[in-house]
Amino acid sequence: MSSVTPRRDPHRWATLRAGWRAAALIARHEIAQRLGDPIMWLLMLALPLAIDALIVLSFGDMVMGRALPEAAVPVAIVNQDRGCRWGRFGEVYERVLLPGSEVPAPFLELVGTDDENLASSATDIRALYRARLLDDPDEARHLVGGGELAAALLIPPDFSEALIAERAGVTVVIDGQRDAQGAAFAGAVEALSNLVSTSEVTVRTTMSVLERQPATRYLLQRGQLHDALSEIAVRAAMPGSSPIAIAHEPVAASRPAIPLTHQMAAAIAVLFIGFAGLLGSASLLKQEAQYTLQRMAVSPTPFGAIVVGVAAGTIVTAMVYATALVGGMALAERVLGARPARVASLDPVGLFLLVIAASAAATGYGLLVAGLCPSYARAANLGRGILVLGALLGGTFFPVSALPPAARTLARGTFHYWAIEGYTTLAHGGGTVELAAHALILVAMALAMGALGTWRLRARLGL
Amino acid sequence: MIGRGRTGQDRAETTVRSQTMLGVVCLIARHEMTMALGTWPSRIQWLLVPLLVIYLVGLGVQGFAASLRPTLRVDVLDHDSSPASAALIAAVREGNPLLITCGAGGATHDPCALGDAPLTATLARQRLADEVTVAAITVPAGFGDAIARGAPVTVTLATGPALAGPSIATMALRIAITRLGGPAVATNLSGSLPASLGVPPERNEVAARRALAEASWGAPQPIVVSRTMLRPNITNTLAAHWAANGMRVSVPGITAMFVLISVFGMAQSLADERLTGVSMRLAAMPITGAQRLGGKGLAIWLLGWIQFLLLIAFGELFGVGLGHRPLMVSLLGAAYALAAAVLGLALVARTNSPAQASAVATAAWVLLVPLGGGWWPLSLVPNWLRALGHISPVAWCVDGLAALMAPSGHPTDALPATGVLFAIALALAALGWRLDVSRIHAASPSSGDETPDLPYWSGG
Repeated sequence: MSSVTPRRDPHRWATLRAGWRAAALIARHEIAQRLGDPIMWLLMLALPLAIDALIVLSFGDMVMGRALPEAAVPVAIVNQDRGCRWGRFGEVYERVLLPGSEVPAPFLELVGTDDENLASSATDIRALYRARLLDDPDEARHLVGGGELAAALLIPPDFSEALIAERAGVTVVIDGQRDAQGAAFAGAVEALSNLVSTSEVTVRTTMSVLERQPATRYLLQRGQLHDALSEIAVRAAMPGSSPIAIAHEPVAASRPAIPLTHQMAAAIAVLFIGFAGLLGSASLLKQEAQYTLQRMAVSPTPFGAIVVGVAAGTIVTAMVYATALVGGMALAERVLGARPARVASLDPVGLFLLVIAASAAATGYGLLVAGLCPSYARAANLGRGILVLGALLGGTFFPVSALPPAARTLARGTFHYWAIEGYTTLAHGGGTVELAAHALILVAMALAMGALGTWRLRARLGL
Repeated sequence: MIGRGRTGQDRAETTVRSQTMLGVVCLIARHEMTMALGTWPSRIQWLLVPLLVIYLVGLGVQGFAASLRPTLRVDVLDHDSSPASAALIAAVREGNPLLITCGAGGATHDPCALGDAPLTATLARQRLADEVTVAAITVPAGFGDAIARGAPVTVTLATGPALAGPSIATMALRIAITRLGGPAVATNLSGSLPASLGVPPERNEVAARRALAEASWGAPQPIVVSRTMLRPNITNTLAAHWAANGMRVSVPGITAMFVLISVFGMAQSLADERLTGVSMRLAAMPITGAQRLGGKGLAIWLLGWIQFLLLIAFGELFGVGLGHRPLMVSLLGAAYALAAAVLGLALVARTNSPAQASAVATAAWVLLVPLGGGWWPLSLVPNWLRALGHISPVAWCVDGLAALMAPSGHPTDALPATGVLFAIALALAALGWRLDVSRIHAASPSSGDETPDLPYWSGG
């Protein structure tokens, strides 16, 4: 009777070890060849970084899901008010809107506190605007028309005189290209004007009562009630005098915001990881064209070891490029000074996992291309074309939600979609656990595409 | 030979030579075109992929365009439902045209993203936290009565985490409150000084003061803030066009991109010919460098132009609006393809190997396309970047096509862009020729880089 315990086959074990060693050697050569090539660094790092820089410069103050840029709006004030016997009312606008000015007490509530928390800055009229003082209305108009300023407040020379006489007017000149921000500034000016108006109406109403009596009318004409009227004017402008009070409750975000530049940078990184994944197929097809692959396939080295070696080398190469890209993009953002909102730090383990999974999926795609395309040229055309289409569908260039329902369903078949969704999960504060599903799908894609590609390649080589 | 004393025979020889020269150029061009589009994969790459990309980008842009027209949602929980509370909500809406009030007195469904759910305090808070809304206003019960009596009342304003949206909503509420509360403030405070001076109150004193304050606050208000818009909002105008037809963005941008890719890809073949020794063999033939370069340039230009016209024609299937100006589109395409071809050849002239040529060509199109507005419209970027973007021929091409697409535009609107593209082509041709034309048709294979291996990066 033979033993029921299976015997360990030393020969098989040695073959397996040799296979792994061969795979490691092939992987090392792949990595050395790619990473030692300065032109590849230009294409895989410098190019995406240049695109990223353009994105940061173009959309540096945008945040995903928010309609308006999250940056202070440049505005100007041209105050030509000569004043009247009651003073220069136009100065109120200057002092409230210009940073560093001493704000008159009635308007303190409009300026709020110096709290850096963006949630509380909603009540701060100075938080949204970067105001500066100009002397010339024409210059202000020119700057607004040229897009340098979003809006400018023009206070005419007779503003105060007109206000105490009957009606006064100010003009807000708005850059139509930024009409939303300009309208917001006009709204702020209007809120401020309403407080001044309240003062003026209160004084006017008080004076009408005082003028009914000869005694008080005499005091008014002698100017002996000016101080008392000034005090009433100040009290009237105080938001506390209004019967309607505002109780402010800031609400914190349920999840961290994602700057548009981060989302686009992640999408570009995924696109270039895809290109890096194609390197594996290029390597195999080039070797096939030179009959090197056929010769290697009939050597004692298992064919699987060759494919695993090329795939491992490609994955590591893609990971190195991706890591350098992420670091470079962070540096570019810092250098270019764009950081529109407080963002959550990405979970490093999750990010690492995502880079591995995305690199593996891209490599799997490369193997599939190598298996399905019989020549280097055809793989180049088809591989690159499908990769770009997959990137388009998968949310690289615009959100998948912008596509019709059928295309949204198709998008789920691309590794770009799962990689970008994985990044979004991390950027919204998710960790490794939340990322697990995305990573597993990417790895499953890698295995499925890699296995199919290897099978087709073996069949083509007659193995 | 060609001099003052030219005979008829000389002229005949010159004519024959010219015809032969042209014939050689055309022959080379024909062969180049056959080589470039000789296989199905290359044809797919040249036409099918661009068509698919144009279509997909068009769909995406159409969906994305809606987000370019910003709206700010404000939830309103009106527990009073009085004319005063309705006036407050209306005043908030008037405070900024971007604001949409949801719930009481406002839009209820699609623009508010509420669906069929009734707006509750909990839901409003959740919507704020999720940044569906920028603010939530709660008007308490008894608001209207309090206003009528001049009694204190508190409106609750909850704001979301963003900067711009909540600030705008806050300011709109302030405008509304100061407008509504202003007369009450004047009524309340205007009695204090006369009372302290012993002025006896008249009958209906408070009502009289209130009427006077209301009249003073009435239209026009004491301070009128007038708004002057200095230029139109191009983004809003464009967004409306894009939302109606996304192909209006994808056709110009993607066409410009793929023409550049194809043209640069073909230009790289010059470097391949140097490496493989084809240049050397051709140098031994009875043709000049100008003929060879002319033939190649002609092929590159023609293929770029034809591709341009086919892609534009594809866009017409979706009503992009370029079909009614075929001549001008054709001229613009010719100028753009020529500028791209000359640029491609000039870039390749500076390289030493196919690998370098491929890298330089790829880097060039990847930079020139987004810089020139091929990926996103230049109207969305800062002014200085828009100006810088016009160093790219893509920007002029997209500008020209946009001018031709404009409903009120005239065909001649595209002439400046066309002229600039021709000028770019001429300038680059002169520069490229002067710089290093000898290298383009160098008679010996390049030394050094014998193993060009830039997988899948080359354009053609």
